[in-house]
Amino acid sequence: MNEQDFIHNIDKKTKDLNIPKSVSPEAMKERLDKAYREHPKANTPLSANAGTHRFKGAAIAACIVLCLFGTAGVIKLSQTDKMDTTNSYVADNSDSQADTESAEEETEPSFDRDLAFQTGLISPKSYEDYYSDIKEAYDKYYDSISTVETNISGDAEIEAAEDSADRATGAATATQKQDSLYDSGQAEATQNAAKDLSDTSTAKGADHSDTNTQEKNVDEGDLIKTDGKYIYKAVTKYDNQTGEDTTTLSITKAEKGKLTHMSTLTFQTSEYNNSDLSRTKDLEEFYVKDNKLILLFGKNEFQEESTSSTSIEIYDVSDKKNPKKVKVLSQSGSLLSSRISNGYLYTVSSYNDMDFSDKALYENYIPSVNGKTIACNKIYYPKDSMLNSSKVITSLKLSDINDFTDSITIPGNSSQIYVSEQAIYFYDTVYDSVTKTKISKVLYKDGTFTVGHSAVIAGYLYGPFAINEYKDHLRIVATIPANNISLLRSLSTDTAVNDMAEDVNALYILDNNLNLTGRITGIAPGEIIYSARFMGDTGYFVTYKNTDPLFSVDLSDPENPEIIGSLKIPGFSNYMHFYGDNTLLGIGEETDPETQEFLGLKLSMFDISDPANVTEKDKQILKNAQYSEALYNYKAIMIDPAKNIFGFGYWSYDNSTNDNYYYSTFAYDKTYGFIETACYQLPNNAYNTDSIRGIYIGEYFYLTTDTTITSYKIGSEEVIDIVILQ
Amino acid sequence: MNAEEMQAYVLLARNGDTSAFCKLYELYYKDMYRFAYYMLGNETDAEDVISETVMDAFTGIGKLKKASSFKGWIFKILSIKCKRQLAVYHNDRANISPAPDENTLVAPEPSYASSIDVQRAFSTLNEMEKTIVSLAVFAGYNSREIAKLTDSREGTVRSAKSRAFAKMSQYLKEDFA
Repeated sequence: MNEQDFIHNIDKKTKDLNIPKSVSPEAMKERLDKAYREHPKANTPLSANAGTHRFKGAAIAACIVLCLFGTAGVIKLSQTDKMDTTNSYVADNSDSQADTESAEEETEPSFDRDLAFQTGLISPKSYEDYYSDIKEAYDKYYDSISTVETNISGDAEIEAAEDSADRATGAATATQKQDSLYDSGQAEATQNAAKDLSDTSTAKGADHSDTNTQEKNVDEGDLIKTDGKYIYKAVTKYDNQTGEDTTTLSITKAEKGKLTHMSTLTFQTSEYNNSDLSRTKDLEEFYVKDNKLILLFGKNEFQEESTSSTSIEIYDVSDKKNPKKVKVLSQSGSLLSSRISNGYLYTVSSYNDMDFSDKALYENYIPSVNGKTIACNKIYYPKDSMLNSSKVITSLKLSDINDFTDSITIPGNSSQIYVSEQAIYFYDTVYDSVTKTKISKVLYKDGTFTVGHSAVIAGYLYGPFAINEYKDHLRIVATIPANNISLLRSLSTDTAVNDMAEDVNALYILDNNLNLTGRITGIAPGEIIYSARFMGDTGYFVTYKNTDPLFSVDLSDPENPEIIGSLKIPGFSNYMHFYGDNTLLGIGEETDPETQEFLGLKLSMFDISDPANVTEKDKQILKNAQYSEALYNYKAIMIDPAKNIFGFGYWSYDNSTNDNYYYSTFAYDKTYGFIETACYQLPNNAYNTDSIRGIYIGEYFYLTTDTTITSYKIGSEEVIDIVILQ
Repeated sequence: MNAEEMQAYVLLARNGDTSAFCKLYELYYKDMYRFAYYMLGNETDAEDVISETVMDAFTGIGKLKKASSFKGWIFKILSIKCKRQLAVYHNDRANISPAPDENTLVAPEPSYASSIDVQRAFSTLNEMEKTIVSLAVFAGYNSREIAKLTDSREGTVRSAKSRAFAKMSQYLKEDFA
């Protein structure tokens, strides 16, 4: 049974729950009035933000995000969840086009260059200019919605005005921050960068597994890493007693299976001020490069308003027993993602905490890096649009960690990024009249950024492998949902305007400037994309409804992509990985083609020697295996086709045995098919599947949970050594 | 209620208008109550956390940055309150007897009182799973939204949700077949 049906069923079953009178709106009003009468001061709402006409620049984006993503099978679409029409970054002319086109089933999905981005991105001459431009856009917006408020809330506005006047006085006496234009010294850094060789390949120990990444040469952060000699593992533990989390990062020496604890770093994740949460700091991911431990933290401070920032802490771990903090860098906004490419760390954060209440307080609306507001020539924004949210992007040369090499800020709500070897792509789904994905591009080279173009395509991306860059072209597969699946309704008419009866899929190819060069539309009506993988001139993707067509696409002519094959088999693959020269591994689910009943996790090996005639050479079903992190989080998969090994943890559930967690390693043999080389049972309380990871170093396999690291010889289930993570 | 009205009510509530606040509350209170009830498993505490949530939300509505996110915001307050209450239960239990191992719970005989089934199914979940399922079912949020609300990662939410549903389906079999 699928998840939406499940949700729907529980919803139905619990709908008639008796709601006590004591929680009715009337009873609550009485209670509030009473409290208000007794302690009028204490219970007056904080009116800091009151008054819509007051220019209160906003984390509108932060809030919109929630509304926007009311998605796949919103079962309780209440009116207030509707799409906020103020999101002005999407080229609106695509709507009418798409609407009319979508009336038919064989839709020609819309494609539009985002004009606002193409023509409108500028850098301000000064912070004041920036302030005025943004303010103007906000004013326009507030004017456009103000008719309702002026009728109802005359008194409220007067009070709000008084309140804002108070605040203004306060702000004037506050110390004015010095205008600190940020000089990155970037020219020099760039020169140095050219001299440095990539430092990723030096000082390797034995051969070892690496984090499974989207792009081979672009490293991604994770909560476990190895440099071939040591295992670095971060774990966050929730204490049920105190309700507090603690994060630890332990360094363990792993020598031919022998495990020795070296040291542990401990991070307090939350701070309280009189039982109120005042600050949180979460370790999101980390890297290990050349005896440096690079930790990325998301930080939140809760005062009158909450603010988010990202902190990059670098430890020197030359002495594994005594890691030394050597540098802390910071940037505004919550951490979105990071990469290491060619010796540079690239960090992207989302900045929504803009507060425009005082023009002179630049740091309240200009994002900062290392405490300095970003220089005007590094700020990119659309002149006529309301700036809801922006991204802060920094680069840090790992051989010179003194300061960021470059840092820019660009507009956008994007919550997903894809990083190729030359560019960072931001993509974000917008649930408008037609579900669309906006893509924008920032090029990078030796730590220096160049803002590129943007585009909007119809549909949403199923996941990180739906987008891929190759030879200056970007290839994307997208699903355009039918009106009854994930559409938020039009605010003005309260009617769904997308008349598509079925989901449908499309493939797009965009050039360097994100101009469309070719597309295939109307693929597999009624199905949605579950996985995709691109290699060179060929792309593979899986759609699913009853069976799993694995499509192969010839992408050699960017103007004329062509579907050259489709293989129909039961079930579907959630993850695909090229395994050797002519084979493609699929990890997914087996289902009964008639009843859709879930039959277990499935491994498939596809022969892709002839992309036009793909065959499923071998398959293996893991019975009772219900779920694996591997289906949704590619970093949970250990895989190295060259060494012929892959593995992942999964969870199995049946009536007789209850819960069981396992980790299995596999090899693939052309004659014998899949071989489960070892299967390890994990502790029953291994709820935190995020922390179940396997890695190998040389001939040894290390299995980690949130409490232990255990070592084995690869392919053996006999324990060699075990350490408790402290 | 459309977005403009909502904005107006938030504005009024910020200025101390309790009936405007309750207009907003009215939109969600049933789902909020279901949320609290299945999180905590009993009526009295559910009523209490709802009251506390309403008090806090009304007092703190100045912190709400955008009217349209009222729902997510009040559910977030509510889920924090429930989390605290669960910690209280946990402490109480620890003081009296060892906490029952969640994995040793045996699926009960099929029962036809559907609401009780659901309650039982909920009782097999750990705190995080409960929160996630409640947000998915009673507040209608998807994994990405839940990840935002609970400050966790989308993958974590998805895996916990999937695990939770599989566990629950053992208790809800008869009409889910």
